[in-house]
Amino acid sequence: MGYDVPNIEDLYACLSCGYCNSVCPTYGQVGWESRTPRGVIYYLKQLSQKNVFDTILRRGVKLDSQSAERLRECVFMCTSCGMCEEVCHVDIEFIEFWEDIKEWVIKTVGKTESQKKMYDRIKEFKNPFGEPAETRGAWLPEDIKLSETPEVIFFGGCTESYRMQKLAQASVKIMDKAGVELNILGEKEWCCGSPLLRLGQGDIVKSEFMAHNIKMVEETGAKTVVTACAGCFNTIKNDYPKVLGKLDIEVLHLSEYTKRLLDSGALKVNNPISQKVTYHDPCHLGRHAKVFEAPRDVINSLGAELVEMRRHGAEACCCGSGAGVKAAYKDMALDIGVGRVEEAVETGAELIISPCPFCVLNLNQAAEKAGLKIKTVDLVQIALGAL
Amino acid sequence: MIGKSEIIFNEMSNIVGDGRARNDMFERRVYSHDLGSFPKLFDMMFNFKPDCIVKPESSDEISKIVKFASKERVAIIPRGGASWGMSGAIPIEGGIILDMTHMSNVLEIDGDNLIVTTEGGITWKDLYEKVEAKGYMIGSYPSSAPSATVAGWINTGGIGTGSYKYGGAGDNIRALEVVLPNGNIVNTGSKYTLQSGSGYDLNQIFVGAEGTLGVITKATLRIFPKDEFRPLSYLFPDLKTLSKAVQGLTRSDATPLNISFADNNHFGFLRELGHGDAPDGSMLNIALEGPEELIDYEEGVLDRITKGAKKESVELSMHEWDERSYELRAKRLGPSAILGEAFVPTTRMDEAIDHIYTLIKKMKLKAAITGMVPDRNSVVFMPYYLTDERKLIKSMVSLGFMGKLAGIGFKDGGRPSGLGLFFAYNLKKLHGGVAYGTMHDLKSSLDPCDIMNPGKLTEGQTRFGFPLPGAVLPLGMSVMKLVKGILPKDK
Repeated sequence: MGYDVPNIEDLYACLSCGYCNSVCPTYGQVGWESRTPRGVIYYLKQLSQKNVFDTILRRGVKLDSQSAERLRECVFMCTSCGMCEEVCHVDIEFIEFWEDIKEWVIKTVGKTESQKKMYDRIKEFKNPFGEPAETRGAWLPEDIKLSETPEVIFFGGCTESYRMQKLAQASVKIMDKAGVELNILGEKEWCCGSPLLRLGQGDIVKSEFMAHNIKMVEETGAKTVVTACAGCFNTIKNDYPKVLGKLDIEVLHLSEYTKRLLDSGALKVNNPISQKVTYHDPCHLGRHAKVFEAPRDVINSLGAELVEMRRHGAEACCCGSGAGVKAAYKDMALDIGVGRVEEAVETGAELIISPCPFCVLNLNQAAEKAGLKIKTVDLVQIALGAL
Repeated sequence: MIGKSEIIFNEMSNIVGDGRARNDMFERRVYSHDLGSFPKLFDMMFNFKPDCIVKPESSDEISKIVKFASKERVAIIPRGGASWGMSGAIPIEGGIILDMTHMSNVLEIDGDNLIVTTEGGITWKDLYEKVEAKGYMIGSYPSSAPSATVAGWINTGGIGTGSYKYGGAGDNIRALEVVLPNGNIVNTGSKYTLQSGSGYDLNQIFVGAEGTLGVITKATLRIFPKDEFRPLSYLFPDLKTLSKAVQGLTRSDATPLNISFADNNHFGFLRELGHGDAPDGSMLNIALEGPEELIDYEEGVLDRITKGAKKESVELSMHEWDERSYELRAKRLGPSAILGEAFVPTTRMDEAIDHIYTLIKKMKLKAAITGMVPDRNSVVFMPYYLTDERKLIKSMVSLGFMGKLAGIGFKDGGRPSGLGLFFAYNLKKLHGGVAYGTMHDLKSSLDPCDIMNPGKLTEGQTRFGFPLPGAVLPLGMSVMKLVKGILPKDK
């Protein structure tokens, strides 16, 4: 009998046209058919349809250890950027599709050591770094007044809470300037779950983490959650309702919220910037959550001259670091990033702006690797200076 | 004992270095298919899996690979985007697949001479964008431009977007670089000028050769100054009324860039898929290109010819144009789809429509007709039929449809199109016995060891070395058609 591969209708619907190949950032680096959406789908389809003929013909579509290892590698090299969904001939919803496949591969082939470690750390410490919960809110600047009756909860996320605190600090300073009644969850905030969902290990996220985070927000009475992390944003906004049903709270990315504050006059641009800049759409914010305009509107409001890269908006290329690829395949993540930075340089921009900590980190490291001078900054950093 | 695959792999690794050859089972399997899908039973007749896959980066490397293959009698299968559905890039008895997509550099865009020289493994979309960035355009390209490669399309001798004005895959070639089956590297044309005067036109023998005569590594193509562009769509009640307009159009003095059409069934399928705004009728899509005054004039001509049809909005016309590479969205309804292709003279478009619809009805198929008009004299029908490859009989019957469609092509004064593996038997019928013999001689003289994409075109062949019996296959297809006729209607 064949393997019980999920999304079977999609496997059969695939036309094998190969439009996904040329847009896949990982295939661009690896260059083998096995590392294309089309190739993986074909292989999975073969696995699913193993039948009596295979025995007679000795076709041997069995998942021996070498093939299993290759399958896992090919599936987890995917950055979950979603470009394949964008160009798909038969409308396969690839972003979800790959999450299901990753889950199945883990179930069938097993986890790698690092995947297991990541899972265990998030399960125990509620963050992927193994940091203690008590220090999660330690980034909060002393001069920020927290409200007992907040309208907004700022969700810091693991990376900004433990590794890139300046971004979290800039975020609350912007909201503070506008007089927003705000608070944070501090040690009660858990990982949003994105690293596990993207890596096919979402079980505890769905059973515990989602409900916990929402409950903590609801207990504060706030009606809005704002986050500056594109990953947290997409996860809370789009993945949580799939499990919890429609949320009673509004989920906004800081770029959207900043735009709202600018539009209402609560924020003013006091020190406009005069640089020529380009904008890199994070996959989680752009293609996944369809937020394309708000960050661009903010950049324009700040006075900057915005020039677009060749691939932008829904067709923007991934920075290379998504879905655990930066941790597992560091060189490849950087090489994808180099291509993106080169594209930015072609525009003549002096600066790359992106509202995602992972994109910022990877693009800066990629520029360094390629010896390119251009810097990538988070939207919140540049906005704070101008407001 | 060390196996064939391992021996070839070691030799290839010596030639191209580490990392650009693979022979693990996973890789060999994912390179064993193209856009078509076979009934699983066919695995008995063929060995679709390559022994080794190589990613060459230069003509010299390919020359070395070919020399090895020639010495050891190993098959070479050049592969581009594998976006054709006729098995052109699939081994039938193992061998070496050359994954050409890594030879994708544009070498020169010469605006003064209006030519581009490129490696053959670049996709048409990428080439188009690079040429466009310099202010020029490619005349014609395949509808599968996002994945089809330059050399791949030339090898299928295809027609595509832009063909009405700028011809097919062979019509804009100035020169090719080809690695021949003996390892020699030949330059086939004249880079800066047209091919005329004394000497055989070597450019053209590789057009439509399906990779059986050599590996195309570079191409110099004509490019054109980029001008204004305007897509227009007209909706007709059915394909027969649309056909009248097409015939009028081909007799008019308008020369659109592109003319394509899709029937009521096609849009019905799109509605079934949830595209509620898909139109109810048969759509004629026309792309105009040139100076604005010319486009305005041609639009006037079209408006007169299509009188009575509904002229669609600018947005919908642009949408139809944007969908030009997405003709098979409806496949999901199958979830399998079988495509056919038949050329008929424009003058007999009406009869062909009747014949295809009759075939669809007789075989009780869930099918739609799309197509295009590649020049004033020819219409190509590209009907597709939705099926489910998991159902054995249903899927075997699919070949019956394709075979019968080829028959319609012949009956209505035309012909089928690409042959690939399963329709190689039509080559003789297509060109006549003497022409077929001449082609066979050409193949034998250039490729005496039969290493270059064996089994295709001049000899549909199984893994056991004996040819696919030309007379038996169509007979089998008739039987399949009969069986399908008795089966219940496709839902």
